[in-house]
Amino acid sequence: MSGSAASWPPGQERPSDQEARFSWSHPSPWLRGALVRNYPLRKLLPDREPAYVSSLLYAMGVLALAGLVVAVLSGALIALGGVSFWHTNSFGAFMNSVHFWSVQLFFLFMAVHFIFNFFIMAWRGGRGWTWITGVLCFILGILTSFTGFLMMTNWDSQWIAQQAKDAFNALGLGAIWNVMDAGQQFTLHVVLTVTLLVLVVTLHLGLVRRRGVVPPPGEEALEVPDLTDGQVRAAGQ
Amino acid sequence: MSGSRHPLRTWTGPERSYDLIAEGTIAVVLVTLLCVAAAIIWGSPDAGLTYPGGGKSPAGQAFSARYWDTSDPADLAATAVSELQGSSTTAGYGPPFTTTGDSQEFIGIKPAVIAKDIFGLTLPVNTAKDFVLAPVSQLVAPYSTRAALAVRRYEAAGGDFAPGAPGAKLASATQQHWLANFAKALTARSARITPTSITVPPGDYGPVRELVTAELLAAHSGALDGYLQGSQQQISTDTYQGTMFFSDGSLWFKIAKAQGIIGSQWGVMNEVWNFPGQVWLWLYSGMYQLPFLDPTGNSNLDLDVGLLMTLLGFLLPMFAPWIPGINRIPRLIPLYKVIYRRYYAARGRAGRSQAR
Repeated sequence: MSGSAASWPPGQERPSDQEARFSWSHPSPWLRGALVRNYPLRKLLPDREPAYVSSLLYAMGVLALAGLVVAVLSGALIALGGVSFWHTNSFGAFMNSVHFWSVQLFFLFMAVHFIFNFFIMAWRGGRGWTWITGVLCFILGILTSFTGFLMMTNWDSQWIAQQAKDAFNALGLGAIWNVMDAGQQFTLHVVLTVTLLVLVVTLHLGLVRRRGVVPPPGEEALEVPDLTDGQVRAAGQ
Repeated sequence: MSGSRHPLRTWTGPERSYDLIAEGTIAVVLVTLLCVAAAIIWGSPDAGLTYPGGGKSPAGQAFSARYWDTSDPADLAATAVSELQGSSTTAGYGPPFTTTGDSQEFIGIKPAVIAKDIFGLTLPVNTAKDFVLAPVSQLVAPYSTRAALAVRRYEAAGGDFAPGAPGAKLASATQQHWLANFAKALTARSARITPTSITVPPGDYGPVRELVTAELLAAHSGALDGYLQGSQQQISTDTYQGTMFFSDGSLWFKIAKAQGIIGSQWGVMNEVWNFPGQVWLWLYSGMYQLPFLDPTGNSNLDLDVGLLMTLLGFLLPMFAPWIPGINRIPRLIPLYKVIYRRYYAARGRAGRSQAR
């Protein structure tokens, strides 16, 4: 580390991470600066919150997240047994039930979270990307659950696939997305859609932490630009 | 979207104590308990093919040719005839199953045909060959001279057996003549169809009666299911041929209707036996009920619903904050005043006390 500092060209001042510009060949300082600037730990792990966040409605987001956590964990256990073992194995059947209800709760809490955030206009104050990533979570959640329903290897999944194929074929997607192929749905479900979902949920959470919870309408003036890291250090926080 | 706004804003109003880790832990524990309780009380849907009027079906049972043959051999026989005729839904479907057919269109654009031009016919089906002639040749003909002769005679009478051939070309005039006679005979009052035999009045059926009887035998033994799942190549998870064949029959829909899951009922929102299904697709399922889309007569219904769903289900909510009118709804229906009533009241009191 010290070697790299010493090798900085003499006479030139090394730019701080805060000022680093993006470079394709040397992007680390820019990324480091962006992360430190946008995601200070006091924002990521807060122990205070605005007084208006005193409603159960504000818990819907974290409850939806908890639903996703339970769905991923129970789903991983089912996936370890393969696509069909849960039909005949009591542990598998139980985990399938836990998985099924976690998904129902995930969507229930997410729906209330969505409606609540619409009516408080949660996109205000530069929170547009938070809103968009939230809706993307909903869309990816739909795709993830849909592929899950298609890989159950029973009559239910046969029926859903046979019904769903018409919309997929009508849109031209059926040529490459064969909803009647349980193997393809398995790959999509446990690899692609759930990875994208977790990724976008992470982005969404990151944006929520970065911007903070939107203030009530009429109270926007009480939100002020945050301290810089230098100011925080100077204040001894 | 953020413009030159400082990326981090800090609330300077009243605060309360809170802990992110504690909240997250409580949420996960609570949801886990709720899921375990629901799993113990209600389980999850895996009822198989049990339906009112039908036999008891073991958990997880899927629809199979064997189940079909045992439960409704007349339906299987009639469907096999329609597959040979090229008159089934699958035979006339269009891409990705057949080269031409009833592809849906919107303002003259047929996405399924465009996809076929780019990717080719990715899931080709020749219903006569794939659902009847090939399985009978492989599964029954080696052990039955009658079946072997029937296949040979049928194939010698013409027809197009190329993968994905359109329904109208599947059977020659001679074959159509035999098939029409046999289809009529199957519905005759004197016809008797069991899972392993077909008894119909004498008629000019060519080799069709032997072919369809052999199809029933293959289904009855379970061999047809193995065939449809890919036994001629490798173990397959792709069941599209079997699913397409089964859904050309009427038993398939009879079971679904009795379980309350067909499109005109709850569709994908519901699972078997009143379990919730993909409830979040209420908008998608609901659109199939809209009178202005003419659900019973609209041959482009799936495409219309798919496009509307993309527009109203995905794009509208995603861009709602920037759509004039939509983004005013929370101001016109100010539920936020109810949500924040305590906060506003407390702020008002604080303001008044400061003024004093």
